[in-house]
Amino acid sequence: MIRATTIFWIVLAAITGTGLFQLKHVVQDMDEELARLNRQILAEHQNIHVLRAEWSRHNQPQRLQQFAQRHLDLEPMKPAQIARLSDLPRRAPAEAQASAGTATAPQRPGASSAQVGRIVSSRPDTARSAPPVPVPAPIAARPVADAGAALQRGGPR
Amino acid sequence: MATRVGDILTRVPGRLTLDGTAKEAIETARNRIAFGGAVFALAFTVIVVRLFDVTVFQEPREAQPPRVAQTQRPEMERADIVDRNGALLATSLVQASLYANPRQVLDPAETAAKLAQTLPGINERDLAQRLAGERSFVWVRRNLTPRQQDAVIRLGLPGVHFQREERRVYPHGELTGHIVGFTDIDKNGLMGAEQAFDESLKSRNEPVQLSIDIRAQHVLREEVAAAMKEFGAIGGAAMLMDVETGEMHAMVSLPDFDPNVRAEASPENRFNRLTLGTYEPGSAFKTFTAAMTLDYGTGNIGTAYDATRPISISRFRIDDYKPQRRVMNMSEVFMHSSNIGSVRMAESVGRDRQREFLRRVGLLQAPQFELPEIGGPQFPAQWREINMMTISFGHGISVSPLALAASTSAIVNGGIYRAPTILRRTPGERVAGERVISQRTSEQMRRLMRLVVDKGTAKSANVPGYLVGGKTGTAEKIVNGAYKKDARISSFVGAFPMNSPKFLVYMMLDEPKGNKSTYGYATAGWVVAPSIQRIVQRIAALYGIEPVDETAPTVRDQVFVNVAVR
Repeated sequence: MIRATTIFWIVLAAITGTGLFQLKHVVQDMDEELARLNRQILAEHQNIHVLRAEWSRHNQPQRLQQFAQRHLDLEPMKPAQIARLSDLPRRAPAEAQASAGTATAPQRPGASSAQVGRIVSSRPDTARSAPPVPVPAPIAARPVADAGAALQRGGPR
Repeated sequence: MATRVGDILTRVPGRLTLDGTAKEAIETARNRIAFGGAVFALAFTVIVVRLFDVTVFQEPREAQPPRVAQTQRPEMERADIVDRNGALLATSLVQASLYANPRQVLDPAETAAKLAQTLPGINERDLAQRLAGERSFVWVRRNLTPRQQDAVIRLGLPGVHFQREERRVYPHGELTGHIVGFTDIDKNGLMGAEQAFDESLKSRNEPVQLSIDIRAQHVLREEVAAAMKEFGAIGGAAMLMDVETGEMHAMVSLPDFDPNVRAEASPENRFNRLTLGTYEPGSAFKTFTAAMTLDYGTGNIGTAYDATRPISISRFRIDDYKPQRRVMNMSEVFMHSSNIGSVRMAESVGRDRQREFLRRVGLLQAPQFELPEIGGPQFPAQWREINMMTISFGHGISVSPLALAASTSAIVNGGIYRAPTILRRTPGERVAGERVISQRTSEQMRRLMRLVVDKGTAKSANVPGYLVGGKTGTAEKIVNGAYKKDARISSFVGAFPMNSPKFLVYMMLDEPKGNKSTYGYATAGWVVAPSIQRIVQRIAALYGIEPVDETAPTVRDQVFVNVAVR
């Protein structure tokens, strides 16, 4: 009887001991993994930091402008290219094409002022060599056909 | 007394009893065992109770906080500087610096030769000498590139070591050179924002955000550079300021320098014309003469001033640049930039009140500004009659362009002076300021400034739809105490759109020369105003400012002078 109990306790102690030992090892491995990950995160942060500096350098406005001039067929936006959404006529596309150039815009003062024209690029050379923007009359008072044409002129060709 | 065993043990049938001292000793031992047992029993009880408590009663909780990955950014010795949109203007990069311990170096000559071969720009003889010395620490080269570091490691030299160091880099180089400034090799700020925010950059690990917008900065820099080239100017400057908040969106001073290679920068290139330089503003100062006259109520925009004859006072003669020789109203005086008319206006206000007014709008003290390079105004200590006269058209007083811009912005923004700032404000923040002129004066001044661009000296600054307004100024430079005829400072200070000003724009050229396209003129209306036009056009597009219909009755009411001008 006594012998059986003793064996039971010895086995129990052995199992617990082994289990504890295994657990300790697993924790130790995880600790090492954590430390490794932390080192890696730090290294990545530093890499990101370097890349951010590089990104900022690559984004020098002057550099971007050079690329835009070399590769894009865009010009700096002119005030004449900005029109209000409310200035545009509400017509079906087919009808608009048919009567383009003749229709005048229905004026709707006080309507929402969404802008149609947006900045496309900056290209000072062309702006400088070009004569001052010819604007016969301020936008809101002009026929929409003109404003539409201005938009087309400024867009990519 | 000796005791024998026979004395102690008394034979009792069936058992053995103890007597005397032996019995006492055994009693003591038994007590001790009982005590020990009790202690153990107590200890086990405590353990059992605690075990029970821990396993049954208490919520499972961890003895130490869970160990998790550290995801926060690594601490840097010095924080970043960014622009208003977050573009990096200054940052610290980790690099290796190479040093040697001469006591560990085996062969100084060979080591020096190999290092000199690997790293360009090292003086071999000098290094060999230092390596042969007695010291235990010698810098070989600070801030190596990773490639150089690798090359040095491959040399496998004993006694040379690396030290981790941070180096300041400025990704935008000369674009923000004057604003951001630079640090010394030990990372103490020596100029610009690096110096101004030195403490905060060192102690707080979060970036300092400036009000500068590099896109606007680029636009201004390009236009100033183009104008300098076109008119052969020796320098130029421009700035863009939010008139409601005092934020500087762009500040350009040319010639400039690249803070990454600051050693090559001459003092002239480091000189910030906008904040440190002070110049006679010339006619641009007439803005304040007109504002003062309106604000003190000694005249209105229709008041007539006699400009038929030049003014002679003691040995001076004050005349107009383009004499009209007639009686002009205030609007015409301002539009044609008449010196004589401005003197008449100042006379109506008086010497003391003129001085008091200029002090009030912040022109007689250095402006409050974060950058350390600040130049204070120069003006006569004795404000005499002749000073009053010359100051009325911007001569005999020198102020920095920054001060001029800050004060002009108070003139156009409704009359509130706000200190200019290089730090970004939170959007929508109401910035406190000091009222320096009445709302009505400011509104009248906007009309007058619009008139200058609409019909006056700065017509070529006009951008349809943006109601540019401002005042030109051309002043001869003082060289060795005398005015120099052919060396001028031509400037323009203005704002747009004039019905509700948003931005103040300033530009100046130092010693521009007229060319064929300007018919030889080098006055501000010819050399600066066209650049202002391009700047306004590009900035308006950049910020998406909507053009207004200049012919609309409401707009006309806001910006037109209601007196006849010719």
